[in-house]
Amino acid sequence: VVKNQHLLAALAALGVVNVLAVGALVVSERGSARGMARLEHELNEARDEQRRTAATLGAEAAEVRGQLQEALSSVDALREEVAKARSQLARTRQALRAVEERLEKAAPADAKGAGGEGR
Amino acid sequence: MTALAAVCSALTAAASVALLRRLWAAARDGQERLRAARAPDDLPSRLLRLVRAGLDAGLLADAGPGGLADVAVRLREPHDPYRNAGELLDWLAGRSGAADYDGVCGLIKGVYQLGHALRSPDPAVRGCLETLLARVRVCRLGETPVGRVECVTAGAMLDPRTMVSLNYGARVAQPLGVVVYDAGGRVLGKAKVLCG
Repeated sequence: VVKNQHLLAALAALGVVNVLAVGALVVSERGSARGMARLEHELNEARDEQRRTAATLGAEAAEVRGQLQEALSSVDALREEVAKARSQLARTRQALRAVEERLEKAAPADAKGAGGEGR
Repeated sequence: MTALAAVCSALTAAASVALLRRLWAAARDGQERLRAARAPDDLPSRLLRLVRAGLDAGLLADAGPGGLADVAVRLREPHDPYRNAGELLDWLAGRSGAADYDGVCGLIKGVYQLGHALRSPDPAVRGCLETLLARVRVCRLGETPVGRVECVTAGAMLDPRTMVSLNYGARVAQPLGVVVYDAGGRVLGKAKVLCG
């Protein structure tokens, strides 16, 4: 019988529910904003750390490159030493060969001289 | 935007609660006014239902902060002692035990006036009139017993044989009484009506 009053009561209840829903929405929005801010902060921290790591890796790479250059120059020096040693060895061999040839040439003359003396 | 939605919702709820409290206060006021009623039948409870139905239908749209005391009885005759719905209820409560023909006819007019003032739906008014019609049926006008009672409906053509119009017009805008016949079909009492 009291339909209009029921409608009014429903309207009042609906208004209260609306207010509560809007309040919950505001709380949820604030929570989301806090979460977003935390995520952004963590992202910035991760970016900074990545930047620091990249800088450290760059420095290490430069150091390794320097060490590599030093090693390469040492290898070149060793190669030069080896080449010098080889050429010196070749010269020694030629000298030895010349001495052997001279000794071979000198050996028959010596044998002839020894036979004459025996006679 | 969220704040606007919250404010609108809060205002809607507050306005609804305020309107509901106003209606409940008016209903309590009517109940208090009818507490003094002494009747041999259930007229006071039917009057209370009429008030509640009127409050629900009209929502006290024309009333100020005074509730029932601010609802003017627009269809009152010059000699009627009440001017607003509150006073009319007091008057009805005081006369609710009337059993004589004139007293019951006054109650019937008061019920019609109350229904019109509060914009009560017709079924509520008819429900309230049933008790009074039963009282009229057992009345006597002089030596003549009442045989039949007939209600006048709004929108009917004015019939001077059975109706007394309080203003000029051809059609009944608001009945304020009933037509009373004797057992032979003779009109014993004409219905007061307002024409539009």
